Amino acid sequence: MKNDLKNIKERVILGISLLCILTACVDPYEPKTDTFESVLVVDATITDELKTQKITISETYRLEEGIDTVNFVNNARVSVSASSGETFNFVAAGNGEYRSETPFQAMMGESYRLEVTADNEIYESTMEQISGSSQLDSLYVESNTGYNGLPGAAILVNNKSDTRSYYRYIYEETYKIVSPYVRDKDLAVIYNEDDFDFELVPTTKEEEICYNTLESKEIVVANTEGVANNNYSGLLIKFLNFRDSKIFHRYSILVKQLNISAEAFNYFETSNELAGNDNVFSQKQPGFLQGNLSSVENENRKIVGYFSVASVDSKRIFFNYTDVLDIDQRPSLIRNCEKFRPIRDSLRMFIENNEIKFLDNNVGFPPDDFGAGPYLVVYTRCRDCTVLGTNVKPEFWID
Amino acid sequence: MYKILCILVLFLVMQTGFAQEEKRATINFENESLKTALDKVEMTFGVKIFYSENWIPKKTITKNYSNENLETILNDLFQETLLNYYQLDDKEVILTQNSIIYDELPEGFFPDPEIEETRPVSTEEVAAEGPVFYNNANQNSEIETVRIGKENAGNRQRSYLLSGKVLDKKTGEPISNLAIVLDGTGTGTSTDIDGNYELRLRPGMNIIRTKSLTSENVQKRVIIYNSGILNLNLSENLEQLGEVQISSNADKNIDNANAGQEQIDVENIKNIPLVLGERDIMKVAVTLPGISTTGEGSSGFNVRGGKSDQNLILLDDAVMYNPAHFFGIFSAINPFTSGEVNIYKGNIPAKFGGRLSSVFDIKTKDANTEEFQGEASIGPVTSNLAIQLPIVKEKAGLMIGGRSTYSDWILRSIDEESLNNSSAFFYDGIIKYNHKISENDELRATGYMSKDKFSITSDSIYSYENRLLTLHYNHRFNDRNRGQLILTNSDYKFNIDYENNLADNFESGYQINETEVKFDMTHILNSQHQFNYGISSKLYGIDPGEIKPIGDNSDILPITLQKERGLESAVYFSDEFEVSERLLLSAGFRFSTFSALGDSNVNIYAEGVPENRNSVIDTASFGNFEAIKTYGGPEVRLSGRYYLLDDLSVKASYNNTIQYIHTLSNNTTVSPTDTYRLSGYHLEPQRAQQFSLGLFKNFDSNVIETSIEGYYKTSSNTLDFKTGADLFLNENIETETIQGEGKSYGVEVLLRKNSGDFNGWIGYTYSRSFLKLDGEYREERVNDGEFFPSNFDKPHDFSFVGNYKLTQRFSFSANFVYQTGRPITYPVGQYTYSGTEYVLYSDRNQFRIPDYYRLDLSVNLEGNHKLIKLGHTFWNFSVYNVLGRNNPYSVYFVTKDGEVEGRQSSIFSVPIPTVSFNFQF
Repeated sequence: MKNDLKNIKERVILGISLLCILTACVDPYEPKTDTFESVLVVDATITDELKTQKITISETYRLEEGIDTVNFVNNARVSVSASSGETFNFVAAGNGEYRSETPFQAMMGESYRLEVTADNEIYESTMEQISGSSQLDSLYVESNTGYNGLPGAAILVNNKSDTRSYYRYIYEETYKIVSPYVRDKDLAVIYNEDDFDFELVPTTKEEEICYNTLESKEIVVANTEGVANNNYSGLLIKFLNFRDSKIFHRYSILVKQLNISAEAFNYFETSNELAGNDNVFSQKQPGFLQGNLSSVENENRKIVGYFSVASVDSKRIFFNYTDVLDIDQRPSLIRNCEKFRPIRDSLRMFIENNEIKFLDNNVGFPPDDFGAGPYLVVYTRCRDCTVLGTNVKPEFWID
Repeated sequence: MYKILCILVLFLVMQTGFAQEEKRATINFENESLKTALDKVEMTFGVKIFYSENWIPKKTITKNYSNENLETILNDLFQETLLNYYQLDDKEVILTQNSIIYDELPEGFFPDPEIEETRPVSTEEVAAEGPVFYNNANQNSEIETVRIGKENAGNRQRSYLLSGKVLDKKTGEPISNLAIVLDGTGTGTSTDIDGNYELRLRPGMNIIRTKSLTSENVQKRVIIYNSGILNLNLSENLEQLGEVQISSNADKNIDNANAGQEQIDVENIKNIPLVLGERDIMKVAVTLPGISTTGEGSSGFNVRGGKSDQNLILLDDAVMYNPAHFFGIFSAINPFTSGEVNIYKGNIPAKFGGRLSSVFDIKTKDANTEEFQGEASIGPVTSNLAIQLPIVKEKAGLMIGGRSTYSDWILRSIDEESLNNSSAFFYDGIIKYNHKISENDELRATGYMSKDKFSITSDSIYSYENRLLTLHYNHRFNDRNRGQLILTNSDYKFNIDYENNLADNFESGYQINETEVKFDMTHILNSQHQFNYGISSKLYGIDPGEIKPIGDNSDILPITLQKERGLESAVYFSDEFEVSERLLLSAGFRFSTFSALGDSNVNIYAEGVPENRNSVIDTASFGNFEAIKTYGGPEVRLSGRYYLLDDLSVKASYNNTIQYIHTLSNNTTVSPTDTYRLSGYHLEPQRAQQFSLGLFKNFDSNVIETSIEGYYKTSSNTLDFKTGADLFLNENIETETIQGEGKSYGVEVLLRKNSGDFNGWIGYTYSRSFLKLDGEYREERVNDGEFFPSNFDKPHDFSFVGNYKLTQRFSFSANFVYQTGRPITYPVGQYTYSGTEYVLYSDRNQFRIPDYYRLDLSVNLEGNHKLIKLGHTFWNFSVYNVLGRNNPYSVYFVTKDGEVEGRQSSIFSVPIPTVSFNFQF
């Protein structure tokens, strides 16, 4: 239902903005003043799992820049103090990540405060504690039709709560990768004096079966408001359509259900809503969203993020493509894996850049439809799965 | 001539006294004329009565007098006539018209010569207290003399009330806003919308003049003996037509006690450059200091730093919720049928209430009761026709006005494929009936309807409509008391239809309806006090929103937000108190109450945590028309004018206002999907107070008006929204709203030249408007709970409107506007959080969009002024936005291919030429 409404809203907005175009001209607009504000971004959640807790710190970046330009902050001092008097220090581990010196877990009934010192500015969170227990009743996959009408696999959860609860879901996807082409030889370049030549050498590593793991890249939140007995079922965590290569073979997802505070829930939900705020007729009021972190000395200093303390329950499932979808629907595995024969100079460059892999040298005669080069090759990703993942089977993996 | 005789006689008999014994007699009159009655009296009492027969009114008398003296009988007989009498001796009685013959001179008639040297006594001062002596020797034969009232020896007053109605000689329509000036004193009055006026005159001879640019100017010598009526019929003064002029009441700007009042004479705005050929009252209003719009094409007004929902827009006393067509490019007020517009932006008279910032009081014209009359205009987008039909000669008339657009072709002609299926259409119609039932009773009824419908994509249709009905019954109880019964009903709704043949067709809508009954009374106590008092009550019904599926295949689940009801009532009393010649006070008091009524279910939130959907602990149910919550309070409306010099006045005012209705819109501009919601269990009424102080000075016999006015205004419970608030079909808007404090101040300067070949005005306003949202919880706090500029904070606002008349028929006009760009919330950066990209926004309204400026020019060509012709024509050629300035209407940001891009939209970024043709018949 909620999603229906959202779509309607978007349509309404679209209609009105088109009117804008009709009576008006829309031009690109470059703000004359430099409006960029560098603000610290703290992504911090500690849980009741006994583990090395992690916190990520970065800075905002310019609108015109992409996500790969994120400035991680590696020189901050980070600690979490508990109402019991204990303090847990965090140490920088690169890429903006800070790890607790020792593994610890958040305890029910105890309050925690995050302290971050960066650029001589001290930031503190409000005291936070675990709001309630988290019980993930079931995690399952269902064949479903997504919003754009495509069939796919819907990953859903049922929760179990005694009281009104607010949840954030974090997931970790791991999937099996099978290279469509398997060979036991690789091409190498040999230099002799001014010239060079190619030779075939044996493949040294496992390149057929790999695994890749991805962290969730979205904030999924839900609450039990308006839900009978505070137990909802069929909450969509992730939808993978039938063309998504992650589910071509075998797929596993670990879903963590974090019981967060109502305030944290509002913060994340509003952040998500603002992210969809794409024009003036939108019914969303934009503005700076204050989390529970603030500068100790300088009230006007902004800081982005919400420090939450949560209890966690998690579940993992595995499924194969055929468990959910009809195998006939699966796109060809060699799709986007054209064979070709690069000429010598190109071939040398491709090999040196690890862009291609050997396929055949005694099929057909150059020049043919594949080109004029001596070897038939494919892109590396079509023969060597290690460029897409790791060839080490994860410990949890069940075939 | 009789007068001379009277006065001569008076002098002759001055020393004569009365010492006679009274004679008593019994007389019976049976359906006899006054003449025969007098003959009978002569016979009975044995007296001779001297009079001129043409003085004797046609009056029949049936009365019995038993054992009465001559005085009683004559007094009784002459009741309701202009006749007075003087009993010379027991044999002779002299009748006079109007005058009383005095047998002694008032004190001070012959001034003491010694005193006269040191302190000259003006004859006026004498006349002020004494009886009326009128010396014919000075009579200017060119001025018509009228005598008003009958002198009453026992009840001499310092002044008498002259009242009457001024009508157009040709059309019989009332002439409103006509200045009536008392010669030699500088005082005067002006006619109201119905052409009525009231003027206090000193007993004796007065010369009154009418002053108007649109009607002939007349002078009358009024010899006033008692309060009475003088009706005037004036002919239209065509030569002066076409002046740009805000008030024809020459010195009203300095004289009026109401600080912060503006008046627009609709007839006189036709020379102002037009957008797409439409003469527009609202467009003129925004050129006045203190009134602005958020941008081109936005339908709301911001008055003195107030939100756009804080303006009460009344058409014949009925509230108009959306006075705009086509996103505000056209106003929904038909200029042909509108009489005058009064805008109260400072002190709001006590009879108005319910909005914080201003009242736009728009009155439609009365229909002509004498002859058929019409006016038509043809422009590039719209056509307009208004006709006036007499129904009962001199008593009743009907006016019908209608406008419609044929703008679809504009959309089609835009070279944009996606718009080929678009359409935009609007119309408005008004019908008014006015009936003068008797000398004292008048009835007026107005019906109004406007509708906008537009479709941008082939699958959605947006529409909205206003509907107003009003009924006025005016009764004049006597010279001092007038009353008005007003019944109004307004209805506003909008609708979105979405049909794309898929499974999610829907229709969504909103509606508000209000019905008001109001009794308004005016009582003139004396020349110093005029009271206005009354009572009003208004019932609201709102359907705040619904969505329902269209067709059987639609997956849309129907949602209907629960209906809101409310009752708003008020009593008010105000006094225009002329403390002295210099000091005029307008003191008003209003007490208003509002009850939100059931049936309704209200969420109860936990204490100590923010009100949001997560903190609901209970639901309270209220039955049908059960009061959910009641608010109310006193409202003071105090304003005064003091003349520092004859043409320099200072005005000060204090007033407070309460508003029980709020718009839900977090667009900075007004959009047709804005909804109005009532105060209730959670939403408290908005309150404001304003102080203002101004200096008003006229130069060159009121030709040039200048004023400087400052104000300071605070408000509380102004409705705003939490960051990220979502208002569409939201049942519990209290979870998305924050009620904050507002603060605004400003200085408005106006220089205006009302007449001459070159006329117009220059207005400049420096003003600031701030808002503070400092709730108890973090999510209810915006910008750290500090004051920040409101969406319509535009410090500098300059406007110039000028007309230059080259010949009687040919004139130029220009209009220039400059405004600081309005504040906006920018994205100031991006960040990633848990692997997702988000946009970081600045503090609310931290930045501004570029400044706005625009120049419009027009040339007006009037048809010839031959006396006998078919009709009067008027051509207007104008160019809107001559400079082609690309004024941003809005600046917004879109995420496209993962990148955030700025966009600027503007409505008219190129010069828009227009020709319109007006025809009066």
